[in-house]
Amino acid sequence: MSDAERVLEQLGAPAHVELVDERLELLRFGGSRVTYQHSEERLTLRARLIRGGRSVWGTLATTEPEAVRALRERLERLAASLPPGDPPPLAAPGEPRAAVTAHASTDEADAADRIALLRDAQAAAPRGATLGGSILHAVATHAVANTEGVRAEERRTRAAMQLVSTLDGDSSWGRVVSRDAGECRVPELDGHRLPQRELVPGRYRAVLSPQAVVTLLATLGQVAFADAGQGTFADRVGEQLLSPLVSIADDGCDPAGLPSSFDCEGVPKQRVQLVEDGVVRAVVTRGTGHAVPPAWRFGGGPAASHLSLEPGRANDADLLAACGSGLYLQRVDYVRVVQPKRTLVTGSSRDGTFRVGSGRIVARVPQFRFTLRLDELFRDVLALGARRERGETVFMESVVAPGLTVDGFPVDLIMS
Amino acid sequence: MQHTGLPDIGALVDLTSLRDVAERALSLVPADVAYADVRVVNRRHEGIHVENGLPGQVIDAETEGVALRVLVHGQWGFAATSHLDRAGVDQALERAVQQARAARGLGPQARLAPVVPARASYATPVARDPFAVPVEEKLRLLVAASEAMLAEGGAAIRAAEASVDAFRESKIFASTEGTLVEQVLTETGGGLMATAADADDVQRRTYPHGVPRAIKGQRGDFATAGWEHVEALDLLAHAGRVGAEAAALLVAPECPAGTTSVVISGTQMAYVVHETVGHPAELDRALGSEASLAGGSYMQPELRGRLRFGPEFVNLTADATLDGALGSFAYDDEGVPAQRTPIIRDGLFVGYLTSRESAGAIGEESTGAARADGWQRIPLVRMPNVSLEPGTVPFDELIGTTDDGIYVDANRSLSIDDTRRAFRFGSEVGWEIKKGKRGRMLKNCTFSGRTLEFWAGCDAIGDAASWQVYGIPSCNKGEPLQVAHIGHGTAPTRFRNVSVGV
Repeated sequence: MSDAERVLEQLGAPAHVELVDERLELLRFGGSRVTYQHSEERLTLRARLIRGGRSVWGTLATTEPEAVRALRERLERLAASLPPGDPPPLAAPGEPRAAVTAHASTDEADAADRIALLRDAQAAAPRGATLGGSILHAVATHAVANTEGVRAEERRTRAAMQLVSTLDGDSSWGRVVSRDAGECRVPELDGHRLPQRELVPGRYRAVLSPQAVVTLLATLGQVAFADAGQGTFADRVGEQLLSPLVSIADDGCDPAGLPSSFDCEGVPKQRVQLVEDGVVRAVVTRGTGHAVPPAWRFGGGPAASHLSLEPGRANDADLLAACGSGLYLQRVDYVRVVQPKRTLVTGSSRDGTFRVGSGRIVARVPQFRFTLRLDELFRDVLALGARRERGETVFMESVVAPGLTVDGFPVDLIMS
Repeated sequence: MQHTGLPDIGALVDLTSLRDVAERALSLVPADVAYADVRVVNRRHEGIHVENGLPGQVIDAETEGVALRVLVHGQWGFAATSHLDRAGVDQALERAVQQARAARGLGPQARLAPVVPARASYATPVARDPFAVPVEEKLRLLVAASEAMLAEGGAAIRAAEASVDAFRESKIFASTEGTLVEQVLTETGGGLMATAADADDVQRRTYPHGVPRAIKGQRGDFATAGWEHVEALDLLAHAGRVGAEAAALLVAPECPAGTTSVVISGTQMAYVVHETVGHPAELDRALGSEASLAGGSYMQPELRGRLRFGPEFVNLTADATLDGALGSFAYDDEGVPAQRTPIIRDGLFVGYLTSRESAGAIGEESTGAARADGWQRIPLVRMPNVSLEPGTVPFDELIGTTDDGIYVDANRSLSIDDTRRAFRFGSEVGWEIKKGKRGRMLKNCTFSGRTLEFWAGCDAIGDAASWQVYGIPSCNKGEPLQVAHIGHGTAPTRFRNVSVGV
């Protein structure tokens, strides 16, 4: 009997149990020195009890029988004080899908490996540059069981490195993330020592790096692709809202992303074709494996979790050529939703922000603020890159995206 | 041991087992560790949420663990575990020491600012323990408030939500320097949110103020206090207005684009202060330690005492000793006493929020601003309560002396760049101001600008009667992400020549 099943037995029917046993190791650095290291081991038990049409949630950091018994008593007291209602039912068992979610290379990585990666980064940095960033190795065992017969368990690893180099006041950024630490190598950083040019507000053709697209696509996923009246595109299925070049899927088992095969309710993650050739085809639901935990920081769910933008045919030079004259954005930052119904967001460029001339990066320009509609951004695509990168955000487990060239990217406010 | 708190700390929670873990952990520290500290933390959260008159999520959460931080040859190691037995603590200590030893020789060594070792205990003064208030009483309040929002908002209301949350953090901090601090911090809060929608639009109103992402468990206004704080919020008295305003926003005209005078409510000012002053004043950001994630700061050390932030009547102060404010405590998570620190004095940038390490880097003492999110995270420089000190202008006079402008209330969205130089805020609601009178309601009000130009345009700050502290339990920073609970004292404030509605 697994730990989750043991807890389930203690809680009595009907009940749901989610157990996450995780270890996270991190090295952070700034100004080319280690700022801190971090090692965290924790167990999170999340339980839901339903008693007479009353549903309550509880969490603990242990599975010790005495603590679980005390939790059950507390939750039953809470439930008894609620009026009966019609709570959402427990999930039913589904057909599991296979995914490779853990790698020994990540599981076995230690502090010395992270220091070695930092030394590699220092060796690769331009002379005189200072480095900031982080190197992370994490492993988690995620188990779900409920009294309807759901049983799911999976081990997941995650390795990530992000790096920013600063030289003469200019910065350049890169990120790699993978389930496999063996794939996590020092990202290439470029763009230093270019001349500085001024920038004026207006609309520009722009090349967005794959990591910039990762952030913007994740934000579109957050506002657009949920059902239950929460997603902006939920009532627009069948409409051509985006460029015919754009096809987006949500697939937890896609090896190109950071796979996980079931959600917090133990429901297998289905592949959902959200957008096909620019036409909205579907949104995610509880039934497709897209539930979110109670009191999730980013909404009541369901929510997209593993977005993938299909690649195009353009190489990096083609993207710049399609831009001709305009901008190149290495990273966008602090992208926040202003009006969800219009997919209107605001954010800023960060680190490498460049001027493109005659299809080449020719100068650095100051950071700037932009405000745009994401449906329009993904509608006005001029070219789609063939090379994709993997990323993640605090609200999106996995995003895979190529670079884009878009028309009419707005520059609202110059930072300096 | 000196008891600095008012209530009997032992009556709230038994700290004996936590203290035992801390003392045992410190006794295991190897000889080459120059400094070590340990935090043992138990955290409880009870959250009750009602939607459209019916109970929604009801949550009882508890977590407990230990964190060890060591300094070996000037390099940090940190490990945390929820396994509080001997083996769990041993392994965590071993991991922390291994990390620090592995980094030997990598860059300059950390230097800690000195602190006088303290032996003290403190508990938040609580008139009525929120965990002892019957759930039935909480539900009665929330259901009534939700129904009032529905009744006044009518058919346009899609969700009428009301919630209360209580947190209790019981923690021990001990260090090899001899500090032993025991604290029990109780935080209580609640709020309302009405969401109205039609085929073309979604609008919301909140009370007392809105968290940008409307995160459950972090909604409403919080204080270091007991249930008396929820009673003082008087949710029921405001519920009908919140519902009615959410519905009215659907048919309200858009905020016109242009440059105008803006009177910003106290709740919205809390977020302006947070983003344009609180975060930039964190010394770790200014020193480049957060360059890859949180970012830097326009408040660079060489500008201290010289950078003109705003007019001479603008003063901002960090104060962890403010009675009842959400960012108040007795000692930070490095055992440094809570204190009051000027950030902007007479319009000039003068001070930082610091930890022992960041303060040591500039040869100063810590301002007691190192805090960790629970047992599992390392202390970072976090703002406690950063407040705009009150001015002299009554609210009615702020409006009455504005010939043409808008009044905006309640934050809905925000975005600011990594060095905090330029921003854009969106408010839930606005009203036209014409010839000193508040006119029609406006929706989708936004304002943007460059931080220093914006504050240079500040020409009036509300008086003490309109000044209030707002408790926000959702300040994000760090990797892994840490959520801090902070406070901001603000009054309605007027700014000239602001770009709005674009």
